[in-house]
Amino acid sequence: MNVSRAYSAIAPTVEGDVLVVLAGTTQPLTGRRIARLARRGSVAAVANALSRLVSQGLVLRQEAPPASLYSLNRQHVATSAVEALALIRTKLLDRLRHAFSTWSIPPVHASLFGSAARQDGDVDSDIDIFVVRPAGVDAEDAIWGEQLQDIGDAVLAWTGNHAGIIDFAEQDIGQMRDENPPVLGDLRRDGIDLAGTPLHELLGRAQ
Amino acid sequence: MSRSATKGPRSRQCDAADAHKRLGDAEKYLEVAGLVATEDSLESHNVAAGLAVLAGIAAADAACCKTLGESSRGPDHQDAATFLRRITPGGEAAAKNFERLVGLKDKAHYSFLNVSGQDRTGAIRRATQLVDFAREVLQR
Repeated sequence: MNVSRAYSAIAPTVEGDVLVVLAGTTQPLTGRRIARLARRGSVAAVANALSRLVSQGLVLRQEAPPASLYSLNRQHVATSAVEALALIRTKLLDRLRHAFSTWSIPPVHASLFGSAARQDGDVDSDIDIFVVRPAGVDAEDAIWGEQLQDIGDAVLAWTGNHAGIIDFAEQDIGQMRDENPPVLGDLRRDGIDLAGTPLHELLGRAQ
Repeated sequence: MSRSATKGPRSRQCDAADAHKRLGDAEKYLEVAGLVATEDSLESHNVAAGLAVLAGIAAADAACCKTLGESSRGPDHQDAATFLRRITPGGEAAAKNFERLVGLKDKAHYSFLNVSGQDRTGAIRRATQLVDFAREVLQR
């Protein structure tokens, strides 16, 4: 699945992008505004998609000369499916957070980073997860290893994508901060906290 | 006839990059508000609450830029609440939170009176909820 445009697994055309924009607001929008907010599609492609969706009754058009304004028809029987599509990515993040909350050895920190966090990946992109192992838990710890295996399996089952997991020791955080490798820049810029201490706090307190 | 009756809230166009910038502002305002709130002085109440209000305003901008492509421009914060209310899901609750938070703005920013400890705590709580909301909207 393309986690950056998770809805495209079910609605791969520009219609999907348009519907997700309209699901996010009750405000009627111009076609040009929708094209600007959509993740892809030219103004012309969005206009065509809107025409098709209006003919299906799923999108309402009101005239506001010289423009037309479009909104999602919240009474349409298919609208609940559209609203669910718009929140697939949120659902994935919720599932990840829940999975980490059940770990018998909780991570000091976990976050999503890389293309899945930046929303610029594609269907083949790995889902990168940074996990900080508590000091005192060995890298070879059987329970810890099982937890990592399980989260990787779960990500594959939920999305069809492999998880790229960085298993990092808490005691090495200070050194990473000092050396400032590229991955740290990715984490600082794009990281989405999933569990434990937020990354900015973790980096702030590491000695 | 009033401006709002004819043209609606004043706004400025913005995009996803602006949304991320304003979320960063909101997070930093909130972080500093939390630090100031740990000081045991009456002045710190006003400053912490004032920073929490700024965090809430920036968070509202972030959420609106991402979903609407525009955010409130101008001194009337009711306009920002109007925009927030148009975000689905979650905009209605966020707008209520925002209205209560900015209700403290004049007292925190300009008044000779001090904000109470309870108001300061409430302001930081509401700002935290607004920043969490904006973060969630940007992750959709």
